[in-house]
Amino acid sequence: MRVTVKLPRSFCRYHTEKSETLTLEVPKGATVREILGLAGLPEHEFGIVVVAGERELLSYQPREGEVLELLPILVGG
Amino acid sequence: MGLGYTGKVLEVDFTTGRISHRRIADEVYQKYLGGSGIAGRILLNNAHPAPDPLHPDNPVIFFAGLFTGTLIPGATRLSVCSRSPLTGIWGEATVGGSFGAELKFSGLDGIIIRGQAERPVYLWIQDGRAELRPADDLWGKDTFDTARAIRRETDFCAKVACIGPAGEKLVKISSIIFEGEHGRAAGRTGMGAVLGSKGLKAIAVRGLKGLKIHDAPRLLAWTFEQQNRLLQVFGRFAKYGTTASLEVHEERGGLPVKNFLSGRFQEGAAKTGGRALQEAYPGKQTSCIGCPIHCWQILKVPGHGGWYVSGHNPEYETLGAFGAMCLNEDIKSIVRINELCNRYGLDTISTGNAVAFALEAYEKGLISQGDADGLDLRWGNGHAILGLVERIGRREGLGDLLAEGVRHAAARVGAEGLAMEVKGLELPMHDPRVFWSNGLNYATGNRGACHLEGLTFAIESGIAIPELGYNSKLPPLSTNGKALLTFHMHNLMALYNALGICKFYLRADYGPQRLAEFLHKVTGWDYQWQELMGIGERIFNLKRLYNVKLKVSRKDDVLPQRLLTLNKRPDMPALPVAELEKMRQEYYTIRGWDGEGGPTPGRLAELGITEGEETFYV
Repeated sequence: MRVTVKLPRSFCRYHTEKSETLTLEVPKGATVREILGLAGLPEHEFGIVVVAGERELLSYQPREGEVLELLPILVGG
Repeated sequence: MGLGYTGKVLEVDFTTGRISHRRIADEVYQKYLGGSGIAGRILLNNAHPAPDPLHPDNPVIFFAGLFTGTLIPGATRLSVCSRSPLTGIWGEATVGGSFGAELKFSGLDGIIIRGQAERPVYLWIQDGRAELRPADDLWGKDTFDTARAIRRETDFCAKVACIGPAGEKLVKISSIIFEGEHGRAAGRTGMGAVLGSKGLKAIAVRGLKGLKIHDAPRLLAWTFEQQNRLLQVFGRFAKYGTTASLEVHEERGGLPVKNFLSGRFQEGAAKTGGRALQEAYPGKQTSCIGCPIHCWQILKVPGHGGWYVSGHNPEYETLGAFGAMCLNEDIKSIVRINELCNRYGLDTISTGNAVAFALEAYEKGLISQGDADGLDLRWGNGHAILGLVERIGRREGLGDLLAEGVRHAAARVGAEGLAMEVKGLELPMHDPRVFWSNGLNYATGNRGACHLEGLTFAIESGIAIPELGYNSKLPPLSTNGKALLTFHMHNLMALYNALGICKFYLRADYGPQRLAEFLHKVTGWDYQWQELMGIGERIFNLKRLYNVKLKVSRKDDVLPQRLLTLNKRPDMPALPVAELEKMRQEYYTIRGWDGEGGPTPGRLAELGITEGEETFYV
């Protein structure tokens, strides 16, 4: 199935080979965490994924055609 | 003596020059662990509103964490605790580097300092033996020169903590700088001024005794096994440190802009973020003792006589405080300002706030160019900001006013609404309008507005602590579950400070379960993680009790009006005051506090906290 992954702009600036939107063909039932692995994206950078305005965890299993907006983990400064 | 700690502290009275070694009972470690846990318990005995924090009778305590010096990755921290001259209440600043470990290697867990020396002095500790040495010729020197001079006089490998001219002049937003240009800062709550008031220029320590722990082979094996995982978990943090966060926080709305007046600093963040910094100046990656991450750099910058070491790179907080907060997009000016703050011994968060306050007051006509000694305090004028920071460090002109902190300065110029502080402590670079839990954290934090006392936004951004039930999707602009989250995180962070753990390791699964495993390997004690969280709760409450004795109550658990009335962005509204009050009441209830925010006698008894003096020494 096909999903779209939207990456934070700040992330892409620090990983220059990545574009802000990726469309990926992934196995049905794959979790967001597994999709990150397939796309070669570092799982530890992200904590929450927003799907259709709802916050989900990386264990979320997206459906065909969904847009996944990844939000970075924030720790202190 | 137990394992993992030395059980000994040094007591120094600067008025009499008396130095004594005291032994702390094992039960005290078992109850309060170390760091600001034990320091807090000792200070509770001295919580009286009467003497000024800069009076000789106000003690200041340096105390290493229980894990500090054990080679647990991230176990580097030392707490400096006293009544704060900036806020008048509980003061605490923690620091990494290697001073805390070196202190333990010298056979001491802490140093308790009282009195006031007639002439400036420094304290030299070598393998537990201590002496006071004259520091007349060091008084007036900046922190880099002081550390260098003391290393020459004592031991080339000595670790030096010292104040700069700001601490000497009792600047209330002054810091203590550790290990000179190669070091780090105990920045917050004006601990530099407390040392200055005692005539104590520096403490130098050298220790070769080492430290015994319960299960060194297993702890070392774990540490080696984890190296790669840790590097992976920290990702770009390992290359850029906190500076990489600037653009992320800007994007998410956490970065305060223009003294919390504006919503965006998109281009500015790209020009002042981690990449821009590394492109501008070469840096050498370095780390605190035993940490594989190497999240900070020693920068080299061009000067008159060629390139020179400018010291520790500006962290995220510093980039934000002198960048976005002041609308300053010039990374080179920020690097210079950062160096100046470190040399003078100024807290960059509070100083950046003070400058941003001055820029806004200038724009609104509350401060004139004449008041500012001719400085053109336009937003973004890096040159003028540099000049103002220099004046704060020297207490000259407008700098003398700002040296008192923004609460005092705002009251003096009739601009209270411009002061971004809680309980007198200036806000860090984490805007609570994007994570409401952070608003409750700032309002109820023991030292005032402090992101590190709660780090609740880290959980809201997706860091999991499964044993506390945080593997969840807490919506950031809501009150649901935030009081409980803040309660848990205040307790956990109090635990981190007592154990000496760097809070960045929160992202490396250092939850209470892991901490209990470490505790067994270090001391041999068998605590359940729930018991450890109970110790965190005890420590948080005893600091609150300290504050209550200094008249802190619900009236002080508030936020600056601006955050409650001004929207940050269209999708980031102000935190409604009714919502804050709702979270606060829920928080008091969970804590078992009364309606005024005071721990009840029953709750204190359950936590094992006695209000009277406790015996510590064997």
